Amino acid sequence: MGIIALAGTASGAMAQEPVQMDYWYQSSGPEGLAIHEAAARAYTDAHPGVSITVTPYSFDDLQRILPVTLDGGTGPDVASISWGAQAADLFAAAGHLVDLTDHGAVSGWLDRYPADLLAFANQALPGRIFGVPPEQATVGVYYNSAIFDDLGIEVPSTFEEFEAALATIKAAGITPIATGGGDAWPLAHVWEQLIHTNVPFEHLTALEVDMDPDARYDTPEMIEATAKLLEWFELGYFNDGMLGTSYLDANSLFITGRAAMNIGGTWAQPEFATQPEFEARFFPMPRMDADLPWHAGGKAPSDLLVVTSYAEDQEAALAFLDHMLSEENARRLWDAGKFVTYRFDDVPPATNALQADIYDAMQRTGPGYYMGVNCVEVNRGNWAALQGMIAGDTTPEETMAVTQGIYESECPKYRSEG
Amino acid sequence: MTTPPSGRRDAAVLRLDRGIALLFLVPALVAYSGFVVWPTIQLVIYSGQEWNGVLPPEPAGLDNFVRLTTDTVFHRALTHNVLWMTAALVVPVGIGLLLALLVTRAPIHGRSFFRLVLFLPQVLNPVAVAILWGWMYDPASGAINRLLGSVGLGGLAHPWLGDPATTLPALFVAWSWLHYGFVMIILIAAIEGIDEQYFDMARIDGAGRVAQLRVVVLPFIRGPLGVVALITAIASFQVFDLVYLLTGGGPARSSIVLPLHMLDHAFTFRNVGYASAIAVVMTAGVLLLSVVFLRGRGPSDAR
Repeated sequence: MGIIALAGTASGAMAQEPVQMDYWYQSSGPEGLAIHEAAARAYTDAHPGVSITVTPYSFDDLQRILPVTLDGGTGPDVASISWGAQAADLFAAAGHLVDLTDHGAVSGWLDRYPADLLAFANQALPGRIFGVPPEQATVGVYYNSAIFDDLGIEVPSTFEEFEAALATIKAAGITPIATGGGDAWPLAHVWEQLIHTNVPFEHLTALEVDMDPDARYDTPEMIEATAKLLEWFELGYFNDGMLGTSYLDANSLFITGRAAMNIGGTWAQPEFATQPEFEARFFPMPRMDADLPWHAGGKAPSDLLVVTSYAEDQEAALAFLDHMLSEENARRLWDAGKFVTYRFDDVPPATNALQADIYDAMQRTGPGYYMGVNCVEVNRGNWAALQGMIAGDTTPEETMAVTQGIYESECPKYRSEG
Repeated sequence: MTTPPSGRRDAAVLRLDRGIALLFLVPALVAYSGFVVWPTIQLVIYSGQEWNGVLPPEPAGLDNFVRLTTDTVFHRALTHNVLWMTAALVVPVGIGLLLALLVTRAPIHGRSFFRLVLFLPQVLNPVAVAILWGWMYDPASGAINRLLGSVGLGGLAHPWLGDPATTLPALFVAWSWLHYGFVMIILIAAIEGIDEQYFDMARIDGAGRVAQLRVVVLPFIRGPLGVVALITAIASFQVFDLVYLLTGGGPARSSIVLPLHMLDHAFTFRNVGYASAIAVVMTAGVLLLSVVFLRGRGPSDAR
């Protein structure tokens, strides 16, 4: 009640005194700015006297700028940042973020966000909530429906059908999969789809979350999935010069119809839904081992909305956060093709077939990881190791041995920190 | 009141002059201490700590420097920078010297135009240069592969930035294109500063163009050439923007360089202490290089 009273006082104060807030978010493309600005504008329109500066940062830029800014006792009022041991968890432990647990209960949005997702995204201090992910993401296979129709390919439901589709597309003289191997992480996303469908999920959890000293990257299943990636490369299933192709250029190959598929994340959905002249569709990567429960690598909460401890007007910042987590904003995100974590009483109709495909894929697959997010040395070391394998420097066994070596030498420090 | 002897008076005036001179130096010294000396001291302090940049640092002694001896990525980055420097002292310096000679001594019309055009890459923003060369090297639609195809050499088309064997040389070509203009412009000024009578004397003695280069130009531009070589060598260890923008040090770390490795540790791995140790070693290396170059120039050049 006290907080409600305070919020009421703050609203009253806001009507009288101008409030200027900074909102930083992690940008994955130009289309995001319009969505974030629309959300901020909706808030300022309803709250005269409040102005919000929305600033997009690339992942790398925010990684650099935010710690320095927060460490200096300043920073944005509200931000949308990565979860995990290298970002939100670290800032929460250092006291840079406002504890939202009690505020969420009073404001009413806490019940609207799945508890398991909140726990997944707030691992620093169990039971406490420092950030809320308004969206979730997954990674899967975007495909060019026109090429599939022309070649008589049905959406594959098994791994064998998927590989048969790759062979058919290749035989037709079309690049089956566009991947930006030059940026490394898109290649890792392909690999993550393979390991999530060939390795028991408990094993991946032991590596990624528990950092179990007995868990290993060089198991037969991991090596088999890694070897499949190399096999596809050797069969010419990826774009020519894949290791010299950026993420954006690979997207361009798909959008312009020069590649039939693109294994990527849901953040590309707005671009793929609107830019190609064909209809882009989506399906989850079929399982290499059909006996395993279906998990999709990277099916996880997206960035967390947080309020920093250095917000000049903390009540105003919390009020803006409430707006960003409201049903109104969840509908705005949904209408923009995003995949919200907000639990609607009635799920709104999909805006297009691609959004419907992805939403369906999310219902059919369990959560998955971006391997190494909690031990970034493994993450980056594995990216380089996969590139090395594609370049012909190492075998799949050696590649996984390299990653295992990094896991053993670098990850214990994160494990001990809890 | 007695007047001090002239020697004592001169000494007093000298002391006063020195005092005033020091007073004038104070603002510069304060700024230099604040922006150069203190950050350098901080860098050394950080290099002896384990710090993730957020939580309080912990003392680490010499651990970070010991780690450098076993860090294979650091060794690879160092090797790349040394190779880069070695090539840089030949390629952009050689091209810059050649072009400087052409636009100053060759009997050609429109020298000013050629100077402007040849210097143009130097004034471009490195980000623009990275975008430009990124397009040129694009494996699917890049100008280089298209050009090769159009002249019947399509078999030589290559993913220049995607093959670990060609990534570093491809980046070096782009950097050399950016850097030779600096060398050229300094050497043009040096060559134009040579009195024409020395060339006349050489010609009277029967010296051809190559002999004039050897007996007139090179001795006279030795000093500027040394400065250009030193700056080029230092720039080779600072190369970052093009590599970061075009390859990010990949694929498979085939183009990793020291500043990028430092950046990875400072902001991606959050090992600020280790990143500082890399920076300390880099700074020491560049300082050593500068001392060797400056001593190598000898007293006549120092004048």
